[in-house]
Amino acid sequence: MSEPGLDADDEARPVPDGLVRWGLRADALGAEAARRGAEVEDRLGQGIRAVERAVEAQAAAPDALEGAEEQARRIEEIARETGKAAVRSDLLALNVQVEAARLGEEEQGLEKVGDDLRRLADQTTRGAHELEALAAGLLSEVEAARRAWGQGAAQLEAARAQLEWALRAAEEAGLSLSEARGAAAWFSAATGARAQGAREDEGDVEAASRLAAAAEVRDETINRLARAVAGRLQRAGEELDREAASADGVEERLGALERHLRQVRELVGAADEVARRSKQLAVNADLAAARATDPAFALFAEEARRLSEHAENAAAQGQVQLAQAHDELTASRDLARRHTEAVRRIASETTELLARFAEASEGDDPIEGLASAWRDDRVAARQLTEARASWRHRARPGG
Amino acid sequence: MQDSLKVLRVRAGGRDFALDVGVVRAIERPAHRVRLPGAPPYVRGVVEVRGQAVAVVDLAARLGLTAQGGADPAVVVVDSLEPVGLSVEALGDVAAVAPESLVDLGPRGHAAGLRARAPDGTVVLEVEPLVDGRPLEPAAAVLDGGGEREGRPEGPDEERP
Repeated sequence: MSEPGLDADDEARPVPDGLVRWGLRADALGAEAARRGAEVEDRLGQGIRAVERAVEAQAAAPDALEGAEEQARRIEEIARETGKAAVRSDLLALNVQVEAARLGEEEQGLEKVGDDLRRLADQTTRGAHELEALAAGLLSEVEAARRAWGQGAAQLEAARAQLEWALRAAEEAGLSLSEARGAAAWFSAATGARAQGAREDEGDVEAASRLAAAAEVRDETINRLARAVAGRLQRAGEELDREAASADGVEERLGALERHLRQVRELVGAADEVARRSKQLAVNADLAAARATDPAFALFAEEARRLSEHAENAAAQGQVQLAQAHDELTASRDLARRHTEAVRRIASETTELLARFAEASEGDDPIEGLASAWRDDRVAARQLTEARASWRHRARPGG
Repeated sequence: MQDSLKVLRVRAGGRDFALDVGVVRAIERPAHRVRLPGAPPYVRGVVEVRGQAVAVVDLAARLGLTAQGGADPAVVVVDSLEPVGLSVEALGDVAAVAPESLVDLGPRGHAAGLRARAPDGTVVLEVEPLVDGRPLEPAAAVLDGGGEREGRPEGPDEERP
């Protein structure tokens, strides 16, 4: 705005009441609104970064679950192999029993070996079936946890999109506020200068009118953006609440997995005991074969020893896989717990931000205050225009 | 009191049978079986048992019973002039039976390959007629007291899964 020039014919006229006051108020409110806008932008930026961290944590979780799944699959495989070995043991036991029955009284030791071997094979078969069922249960629990986690990832992404949108709206609002602040500052300076006795020209009046019109547009823009930011924040908060609920579900699933794993551990402990007894049995079979005259017994004893080694290996492998699966699951659970806590914190911060935003949009807040000042400015500008017209009328000869 | 008879219990055609352990040489679950073209329909092929080729007879088909299929099929190798495998639907256990408790099934039973009936209903088989290739009387007629005939021994081959 150019500095008003002095016209020799003009006479000093009073600045309309309230114009200076409104100018000062508009300036102060513009500054406050800009500060609050920057604060909202900053908080939204923090919220987005926190959600991004949560998304990263979320992306790491399925890897840990995949590890647990792999271990469960290996346990299932061991259970299947153990089941096959148990079937072979059963057949061997039956052969030993038939052989012992054929030989009658003279091979009672062998008959006992056959009976023991058959009982052990029965026990191993039951254990293998139970272990297989547990491993299958473990796999379906892992799958359920993975699904719950995937659902959470989608909700987090949705929350991030809402927050980003809110940030863009807030940035736009910030731009608008800063323009408004500039206009308010100029208006304040102009009215202040006139109050000090400076003369007004046509340019002042036009500028005041333009300011009043711009104020109306900005008022609408800022209100619309404020409503949009609030709406997006509300939706982001809802998505985050849902994600927190999903994360709770994941944690619950992982808890179930851990309980499941404890059952598997008990069963593998029993397999350990079976392996120990198989070894003992193989030694007995060796002894019986050494006493027996039929060379076929040596074959039985050898097969019993092979089976006992198999049982021992399977139990040892089972222990290793279990330890790994337990580690993987513990890591997953810790991750899920941290993730749930982080999401809850983000959700609560978003809710707080929304509350502050809602509070700022009501009553005596800078945005509303600025809009109201502009509305008043329009009145003041009209007064100024009227005063100017009246002055000209009076100054005109015969007016 | 006579010495107890030790038997191996098996299941074929949905019924319980027993084989004297004195004739049982081995019990196997062979992984591979080779078909024998031109053999009687109840001969399911040849398997390898401890390095020896053994012909396998489907016990249910040989007795003229309808094969039921089993979760735990196996081959019981019995001693004859040559070892022969009897394919069964499931294996039971080795049990002792008091000979005086057995009810002889008479010439008609023997002609069907059935020796005697134990108190629990298990039928002790006569192995030699089962493996010598001669025609047999249908077992169902004897087992059910001349009732419904389930099939003909040595009848059309029924493929098992």
